Amino acid sequence: MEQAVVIANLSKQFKNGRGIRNISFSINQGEIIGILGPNGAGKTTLLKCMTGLRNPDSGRVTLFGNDLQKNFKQAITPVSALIGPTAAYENMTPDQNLKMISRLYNGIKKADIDKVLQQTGLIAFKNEKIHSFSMGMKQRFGIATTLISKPRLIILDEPTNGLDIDGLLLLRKTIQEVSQNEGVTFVISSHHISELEKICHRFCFLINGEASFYDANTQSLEEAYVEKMGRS
Amino acid sequence: MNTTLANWKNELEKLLAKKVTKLFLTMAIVFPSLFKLIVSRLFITNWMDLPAENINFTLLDLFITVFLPLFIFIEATDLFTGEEERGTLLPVRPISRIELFLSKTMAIGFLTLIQLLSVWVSVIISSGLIDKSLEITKIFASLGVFLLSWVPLMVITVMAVMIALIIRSSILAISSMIVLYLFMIFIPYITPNLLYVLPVSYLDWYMQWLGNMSIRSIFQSVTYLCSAFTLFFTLGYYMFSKKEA
Repeated sequence: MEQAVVIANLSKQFKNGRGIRNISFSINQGEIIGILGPNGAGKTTLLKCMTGLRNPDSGRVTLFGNDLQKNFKQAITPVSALIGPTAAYENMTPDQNLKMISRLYNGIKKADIDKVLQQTGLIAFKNEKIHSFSMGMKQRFGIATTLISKPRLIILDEPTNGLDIDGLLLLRKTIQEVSQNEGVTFVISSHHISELEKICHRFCFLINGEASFYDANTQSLEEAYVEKMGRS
Repeated sequence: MNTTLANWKNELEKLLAKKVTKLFLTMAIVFPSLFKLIVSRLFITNWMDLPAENINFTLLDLFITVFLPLFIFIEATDLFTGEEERGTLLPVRPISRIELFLSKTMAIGFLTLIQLLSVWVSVIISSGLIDKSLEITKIFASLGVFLLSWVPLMVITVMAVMIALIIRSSILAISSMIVLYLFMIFIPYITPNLLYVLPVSYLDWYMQWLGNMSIRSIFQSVTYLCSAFTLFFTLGYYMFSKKEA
């Protein structure tokens, strides 16, 4: 099976002592990986290093066989990410925003834009300016921006933030559908153990900047997390 | 499509969606005609006696020293400092840092050129309709003057972009640009030696191309403008390439 992500000895330290230390792991194509950890454990830093938003102090990130540092464009083309607040131009509509994204890729048609807006439940608001959206709608739009490029790897940082119950169910359904039908790999960081437990195949506990993996079928995720936290 | 061009189109779309851009573009079209109309009325009543050509240069000077620098500062702040504040500066998309930097800078430069051309069209039309001073033979010469004015404005653009990348707050960035610009305008009155090392001193360099041209002074100005552009562009790109989200 092709490896979607290979991370080797990745470290990024900040002046306040936080960050990630010597992290190594790989993710196979089609897997859904959940990243769990307390606040400040380095989850977002890890995801930012995986997408080139932060430069690591040392170590390498390889996405679908392309080194991110050496070959950024090729490495990042099959990747989409939603890290932090939705990166949208709020004085423009979802349709205009997605059109702008689609210009950076080959072969994205107008019908694809409508399809992702339909998928995320935003089709009725496609011509409304994003500044009038609620937090949950903005988050849904963020998910739409990750789907539009038909990626093979989607990285989501706290995707459930601001979502209502409908949004949460829609997100779960979308992730499962896209993963099963198109074989897309997901890396999802969240505080919500129960939500991750429902969709992920494997879990990465990131505690004090160090990573350890747990398979979904070994023991209850909550127990494993508490055990791991207790040890560190 | 080439990624730089594709993103240049995106940056233009973003800027054109803003009210302030629309306001400046409208002003570039309307203001010269309105100005000439008012001046022509004053001329008729003998309050003032200004040759039409002087009014055209006054208008050009007003745009290249006041309106367009302000426009450049606003847009550079929005595309760099503002986007950094909003978290949209560095997208996870297949575009390299140099392509991103280039396309943003090109978008500001292009809209500045469009405004200059709008002012020129407005001046030409109003010259024909309002003060009846339009001479067909001078149309292309005047276009050349407007196009030449774009060159020092590109230096101001890359300088503004560099400042926008240093400062992390939009309000502080635009205030700093305005203060620095005013400083560069007025400091030569105190220390005249600084006149030739400040980029704002070259905003009216089109004057060098009129009348008796001095090849030496044009060469010196071209060398200075190219050097200043390269310096600000390189420093700006260096800072942009080091940015982290």
